[in-house]
Amino acid sequence: MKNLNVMDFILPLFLIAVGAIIIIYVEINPTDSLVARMLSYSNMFKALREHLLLMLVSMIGAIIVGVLGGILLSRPKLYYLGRIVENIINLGQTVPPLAILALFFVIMGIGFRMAVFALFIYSILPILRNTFAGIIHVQPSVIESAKGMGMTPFRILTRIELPLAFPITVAGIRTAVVINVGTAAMATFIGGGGLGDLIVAGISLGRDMVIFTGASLAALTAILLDYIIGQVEKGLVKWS
Amino acid sequence: MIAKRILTLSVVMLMLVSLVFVIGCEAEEVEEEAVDIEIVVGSKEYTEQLILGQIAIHALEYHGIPTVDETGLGGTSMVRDALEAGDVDLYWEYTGTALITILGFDEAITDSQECYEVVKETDLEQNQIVWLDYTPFNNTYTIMMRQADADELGIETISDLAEAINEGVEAPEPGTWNLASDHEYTIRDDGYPGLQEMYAFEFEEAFPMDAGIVYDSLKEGDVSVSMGYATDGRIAAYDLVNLEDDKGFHPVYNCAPTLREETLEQLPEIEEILNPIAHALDTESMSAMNMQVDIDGDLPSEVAEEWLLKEGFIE
Repeated sequence: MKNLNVMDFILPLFLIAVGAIIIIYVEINPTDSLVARMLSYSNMFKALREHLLLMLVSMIGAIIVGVLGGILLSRPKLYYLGRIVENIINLGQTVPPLAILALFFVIMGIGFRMAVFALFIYSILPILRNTFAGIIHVQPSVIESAKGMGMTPFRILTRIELPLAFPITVAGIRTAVVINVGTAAMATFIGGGGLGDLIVAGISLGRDMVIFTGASLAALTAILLDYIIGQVEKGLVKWS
Repeated sequence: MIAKRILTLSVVMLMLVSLVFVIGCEAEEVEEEAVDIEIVVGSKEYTEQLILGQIAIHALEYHGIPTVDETGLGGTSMVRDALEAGDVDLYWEYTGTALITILGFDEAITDSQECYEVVKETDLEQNQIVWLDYTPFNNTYTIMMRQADADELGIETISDLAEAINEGVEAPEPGTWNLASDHEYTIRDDGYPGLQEMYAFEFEEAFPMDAGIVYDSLKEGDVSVSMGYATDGRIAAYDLVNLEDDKGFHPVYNCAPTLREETLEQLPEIEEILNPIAHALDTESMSAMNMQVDIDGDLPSEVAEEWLLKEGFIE
């Protein structure tokens, strides 16, 4: 058991170490004064902090709303509403992330909060859809037998439906993380900050080192977050 | 039932196959055409570049040089790479952009002629790219406010703005002195950091965002001040005002057609066709054309042709 715990920390520590090495290397060896200004510690940490905040705040909100919404819509009384919402969500998913950001810009303006809100809305979709689909696809016979054993609907939900739907829900959350990472880098187009600031500034000034730093930090964050969610999933499976 | 399915499946397959054929044939046609001497005119993706590209196309076509329209390709590096690789033969580039982004200088130049000379010489030497004559219009950065706010606070120049901010004058909507700008501007020495240094003031916050939405952000009151491009048509259309750069801080961005040396050797008359046109492109005509496209919704091609006709370059 103890060995396993050590193993669990190797990958995240490795990722953080790689990130730290990149940050320190580019700070010490900028190719010219513009690169030095873009890749100062304060600038990089500001971008990284904004990026993490963008992702974490929007993901936590999306997981709460998505899972609760999915449970609510899967109740028998709301079944048809659930179907309608599912179809709307499927449509919503086909809209490209940049278009979502552009749409929200037109309605609500610019800034960090705006970007968080757009990311939040966009990340709800896969989570809600998967939770809903996971629950309604539980075998009716299983539920019937639970009822026969005298379980209340609440107990059926927590003891039967949610555990069975769990892997599908988590798959939805992981999809949402992937989408979220990609979209968070675009928040910069509506003044939302984040690592996109570095990437876009690097592209428009033709400085490859800046693009590389922004992109690799974003990728490392994504792998780290996905790993954490995977670990949480494992932990929850053991616990239940 | 099965027969029906097979039928449907084969119809779908047939459509897919024919699609492949159609796409394949089109690609071949383009390849064949490209064998003749044709000038492929490229441009970046925004309005002014599209218009300039169309001006070059109409002018060259009028003088009997066949052209291929590849305007609206992408950002600076994409179009420039295409020019160097031979996928594009001609496009309009700004002297200031070339100096910093393409040639990698890290200090800007604020004199039009000097900047042009440096860029022209260096680019020919290093990359065999020729710069034709440059335009009088200078699409440099500008600092903008809403006209109504500027009138109310009596701000006409950037110095006035610096004074107002330093004295703690209350900012117009949204209540803070914040600045919308594109990503380049927040980083470059000739942008936001240098501006604050020269005029000795500080904005409370700067939002880097897409260059296309800074005008709307300012108009909608998301920011109180915004950076923009001096010749953009939306400045007049949205009732914004350019604050005068009274200390001459912003560098110069005059525009000139660029092409590979070998292209100009093949078709030397291009120089005689495009130089007088470049000389005639001043700030007023460029802003007016940008406005026609951005606000009135005319096509860049129509606007370009109209201007060339009016100026007597084509008949």
